[in-house]
Amino acid sequence: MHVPDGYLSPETCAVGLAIAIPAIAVASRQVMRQVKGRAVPKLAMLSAFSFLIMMFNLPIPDGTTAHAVGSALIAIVMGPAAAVIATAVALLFQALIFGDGGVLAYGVNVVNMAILMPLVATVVNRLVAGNSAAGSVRRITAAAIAGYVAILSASIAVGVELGIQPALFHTADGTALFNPYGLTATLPAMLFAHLLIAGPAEAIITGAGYGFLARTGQLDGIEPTSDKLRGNPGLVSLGVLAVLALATPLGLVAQGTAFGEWAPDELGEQLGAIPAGLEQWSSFWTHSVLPDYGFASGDAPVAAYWISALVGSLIVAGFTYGALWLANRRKPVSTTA
Amino acid sequence: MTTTLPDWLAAPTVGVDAPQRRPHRFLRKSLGQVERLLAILSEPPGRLADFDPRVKLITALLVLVAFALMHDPRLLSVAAVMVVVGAVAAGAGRALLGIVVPVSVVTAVVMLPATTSLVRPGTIVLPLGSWAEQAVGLTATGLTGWWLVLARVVASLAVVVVLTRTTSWLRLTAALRSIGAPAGFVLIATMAHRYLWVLGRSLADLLQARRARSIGGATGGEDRAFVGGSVGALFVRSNELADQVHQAMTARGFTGRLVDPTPARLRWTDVAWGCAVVAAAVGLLWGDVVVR
Repeated sequence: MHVPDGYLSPETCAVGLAIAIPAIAVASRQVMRQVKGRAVPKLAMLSAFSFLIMMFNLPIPDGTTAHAVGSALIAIVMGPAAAVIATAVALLFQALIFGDGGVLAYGVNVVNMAILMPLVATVVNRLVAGNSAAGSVRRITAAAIAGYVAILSASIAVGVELGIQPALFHTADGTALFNPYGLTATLPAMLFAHLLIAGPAEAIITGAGYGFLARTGQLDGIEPTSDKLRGNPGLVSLGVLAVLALATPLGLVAQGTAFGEWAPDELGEQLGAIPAGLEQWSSFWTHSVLPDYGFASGDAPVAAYWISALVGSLIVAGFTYGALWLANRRKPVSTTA
Repeated sequence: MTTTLPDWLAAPTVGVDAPQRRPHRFLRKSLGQVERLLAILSEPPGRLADFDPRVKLITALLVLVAFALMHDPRLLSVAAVMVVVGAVAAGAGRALLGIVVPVSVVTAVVMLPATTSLVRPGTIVLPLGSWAEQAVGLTATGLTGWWLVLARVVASLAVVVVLTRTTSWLRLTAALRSIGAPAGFVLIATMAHRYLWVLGRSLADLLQARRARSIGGATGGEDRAFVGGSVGALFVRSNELADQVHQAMTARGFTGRLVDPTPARLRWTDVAWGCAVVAAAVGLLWGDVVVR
């Protein structure tokens, strides 16, 4: 899960840092505002806690051991913003003290484990837990599922980041400059390891850790900030932007056209005829600003694709921001029972 | 004089032999890692500790970027050897062995399939046989890519080892702040490093206590329940400590406002060191462009 230096291009690392730095700044400001001076020792302690959780070798059902990340547990108990900071600091320790995860790749690792994981864990936990009581079986199950899905999503992100390298960064003779495996190898490899080994480890740590805290009444004095996800549209929008930015190069790597998105001509070639309705309505709107993710003239297709991706991502992130801002105005929700 | 045990003490205890139980492999692994962490945390910085940490940090980042931009495996290997020799000279040889060797071995093994024509098609330079009626062997592009990634990983890790093993964490975080890292983030990283020792000791005690209490191992379910409880207990301990530290900070007048320490003045030796490293990195990059 921790990507070392040398596997990713400097361009990929730069994108990771460009997402990680503002996200850390936003999360830091939110937590500081929320708990004032108490945030400093609290977050420092959580960072040390997060680092130590990664040292726990956990026996998993297949007889081997694996270690968890722990950011899902922190996100569920303390809120996603606290989890972002704690995990980002823990990753800094790992990169500098243990050489686990690169320094240039630090931003990418933060995106995967400190941003994506807490956000996914918070959303999944909220969806599954609903309004159940703290410490109930449903809550504990929700925490375990959230941990499992969160690490799975992070593993997919790592698979994509590594898998796009050979297609985007190679020499003229085809020598891969960084990770040499394509998406067809990296995605199954990451998913297999995390579906069967790291996923169960994260689920156990998150579910059992949450269960212990609830059972021993330790959650009573803790004010989780998970409900503040609604209060921070900026953080969620940044997360959405991060996912879209990471997925954008897939369009350049992918071969052929997307299933079900054929132009009338392409469909006509496959079927032998163009359906009448499609022929009638496909030309209904012809004023697209970036038709087929490119300029109308057809010039500079790669640059046009990136511009299309940027515009599209900003629009989606903007809508996310607006929707969360509206939801926040309507009804503050508490996740504590 | 010999002492004989009473019969009741010499008799084997009923119920100790527990089938379906297995030794605490995860306990041994976790304990080993925590003890390694505590040993690293207590290591004094090696030579080069007198050089300005800002210069070291900035030059290390520039060198890492230079390595990432290089395409020639021979020059990268030369760079890796230079940095490794420098690390050993700086007294970071043991850390190199502990960090660089395992990661390099894993990288070499993981990247090995990519040297074959099955993964990276190309001109086969070493035939291995055939599969599905097609010749299979090691390709020139695959081998070059393998060498390139391995050399880059070794060189990059060696740079990080030199930086971190010759600079105390406090000076390193101060350097991070000086290059624009957010004040809150740097303060949290500084404090968290101090707490690592305290929490790490608590974790080691917890694991040792469990190991001492266990006879004949435990079932997987028991082990998992223990880990869940331990993580929860560690979380509680973290929270309690955080509250105590906050009270202590408040008692000393902390209001939540973060003040940066006054940066030390750069000496000519720091500047000369920085310039030399940057010149070497630029030289390597230039050479890389020439031989490309």
